[in-house]
Amino acid sequence: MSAEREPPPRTPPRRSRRQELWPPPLRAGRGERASRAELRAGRQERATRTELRALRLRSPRQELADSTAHGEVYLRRLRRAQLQLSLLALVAFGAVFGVMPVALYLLPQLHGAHLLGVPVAVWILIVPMPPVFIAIGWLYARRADALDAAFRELVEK
Amino acid sequence: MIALAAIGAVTLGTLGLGAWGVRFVRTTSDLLVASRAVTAWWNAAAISGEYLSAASFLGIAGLELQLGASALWQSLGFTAGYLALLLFVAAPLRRFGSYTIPDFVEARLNRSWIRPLASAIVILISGFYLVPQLKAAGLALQVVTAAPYWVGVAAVAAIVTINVAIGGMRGITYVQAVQFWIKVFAISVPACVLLIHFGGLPGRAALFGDQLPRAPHTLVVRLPAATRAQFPQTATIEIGGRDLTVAGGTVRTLPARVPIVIGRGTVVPVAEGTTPQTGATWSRAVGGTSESSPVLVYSLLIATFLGTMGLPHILVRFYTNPDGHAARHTTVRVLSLLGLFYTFPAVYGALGRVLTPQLYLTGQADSVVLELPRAAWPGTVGTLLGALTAAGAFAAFLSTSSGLLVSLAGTISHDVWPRLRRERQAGMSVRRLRFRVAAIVAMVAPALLALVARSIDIAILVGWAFAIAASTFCPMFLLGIWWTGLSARGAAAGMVAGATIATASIFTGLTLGGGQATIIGALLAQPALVSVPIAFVVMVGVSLRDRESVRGSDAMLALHAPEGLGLRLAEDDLDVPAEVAPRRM
Repeated sequence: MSAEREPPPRTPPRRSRRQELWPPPLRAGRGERASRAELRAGRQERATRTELRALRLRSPRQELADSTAHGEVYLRRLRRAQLQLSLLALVAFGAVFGVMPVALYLLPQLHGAHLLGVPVAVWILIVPMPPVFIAIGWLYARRADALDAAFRELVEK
Repeated sequence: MIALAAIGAVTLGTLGLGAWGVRFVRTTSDLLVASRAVTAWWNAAAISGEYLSAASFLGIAGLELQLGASALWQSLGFTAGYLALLLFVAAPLRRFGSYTIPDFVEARLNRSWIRPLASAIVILISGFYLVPQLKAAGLALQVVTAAPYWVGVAAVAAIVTINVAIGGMRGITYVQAVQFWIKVFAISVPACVLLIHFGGLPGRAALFGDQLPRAPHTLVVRLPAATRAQFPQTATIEIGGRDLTVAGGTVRTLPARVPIVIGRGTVVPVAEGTTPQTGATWSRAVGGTSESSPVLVYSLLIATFLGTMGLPHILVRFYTNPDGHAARHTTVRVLSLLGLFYTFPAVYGALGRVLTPQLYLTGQADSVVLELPRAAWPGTVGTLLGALTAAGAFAAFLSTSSGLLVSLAGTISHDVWPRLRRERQAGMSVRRLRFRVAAIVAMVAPALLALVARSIDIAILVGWAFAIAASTFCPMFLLGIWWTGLSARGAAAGMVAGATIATASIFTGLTLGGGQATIIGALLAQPALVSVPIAFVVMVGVSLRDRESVRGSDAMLALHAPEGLGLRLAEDDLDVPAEVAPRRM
């Protein structure tokens, strides 16, 4: 394991999928510490060497475990991303199934038209709906796992 | 007799397997380590097994017979409820590690006074859900053995209570999973055999055309009680040997326990209160009659979609998933297993309309799954298939009632009792004794209610349990998991508001009599469309006004951070009361 833990090449800076999802927080909301970028820029000249090193060494995991402001930002991003995904899936569900009662109410010809002797409206409810639920659920679970994996990668870095 | 034997075999088999399983688990495996061995498919089958109740097995087909294709919304809603659970609740709840709903409420909101309120709502929902199970038991035994209605109610209440009190069949994953496949087998095989036997659906005109249901052959009906019957068309029937011709559109009182002969091809009279429908209206999924108005359909869909996540006996099952990731994937599998099961009840409703139209007169639409095989195929095959559906129905209400009674008795013995006695800790033997006494006490009220609620459709009774769950625990979970600002007072106010409005409108609707013709009547019958938004608004409003310091961010780490990062509490730190812990093999 240790042999694989070589430091990654410095250049060129690789912009991974994880960084797209989780760019490092520039400034924490109610942060007690200034961010690394600000310290480097020399805006806070009183920052000592040790402080800089301490900042560099603090991993997202420590930030989260100590529930610092940084950690809260990481976690809030994860929660927001997950909630957006869930709401997106909910919208998809509403667009396919949620509109169905109104659609069948407003289009009575779906009840009049028969396929193999059974009204089309009944076919629509029996045949495609459960697979639609499963498909939405399956796609959602995959994407939610991917978000979790990206977060895990960030923390274990 | 064959049916009775099949029921006995299912009952004894489950009890025996449960008792054996408990001993096996106690001697061979450690609870938490062993849970890793349960695959997602087994877990999903176990959740589905606990979920598929009398409402799914008998109720949907009965409601379809009674109301028409609008009953399909019910089965779709029962399935879709797991999608809502998957999207918003499954993984965070598993990660939080709370075992019961009161545990979650207390830990998330960080106040101990809110726990009794959550316990009270658990008792309310479980009680409401137990009533239709017992009602179905009474009906099933009546159909199979011609015993009086109360015998079945008392028998199943006693079996389930003894079973839970002794500790058999307590949520063991494999037993519940096997129960699921028994139910699928018992509902799918007769349905397929009958469809093949008839070469599709017979009597299409009464199903989708302009016909009213007619007697398929000479029917002899004995009514359990004198019934006011409505004659949609002029018909000649024979009552106690004398012919009686009744003009169409009139209402006659038919005597009890006298053989009433309805000749072949005669339009069957319906009990007053049931709307006679032609095939075209019957097959309309929405807007056919007042019972399928869009408002009622949406209210029902909201109740089932959002109520599933608030069912106490289901959430306990999610604890057997090792982590949040597994919880998600188990739920996706539950969706597919339920989708498979729910294709079959609709077949019984449609075949029953053609082959057993006398159920419109007797008012026992809920028994169509049990009656249909014998009516459709007289002889040994029909008897065997009927025994199969009866056994499946018993599997359905044994497993669901046991799960409900475990959560009822667990809540009473763990939350209510110590509070009454004002003591802190009790020994294991005392707690176990309390659990047993609580199981017996908790069964009394639902059993009595089941005797009263005889005339109400199973599916409608279950719909109420879902409505209460959707207007109390659903907003609490959604806001508690995704919003840091939820305060304990806000959650309490919202749950009280939701529970009060839902319960009050259900009972108002009951006392006013079943008038679903107007929008108000529809909302009284299924209040979720009103009570759920009110519960949300009250919860958010009170939380926003609340001055109490809200510290939701600590809980957010436990709810949303993935496992395996060393950020969360070890599982062993959780205090799960041993009497109610699900056994994992």
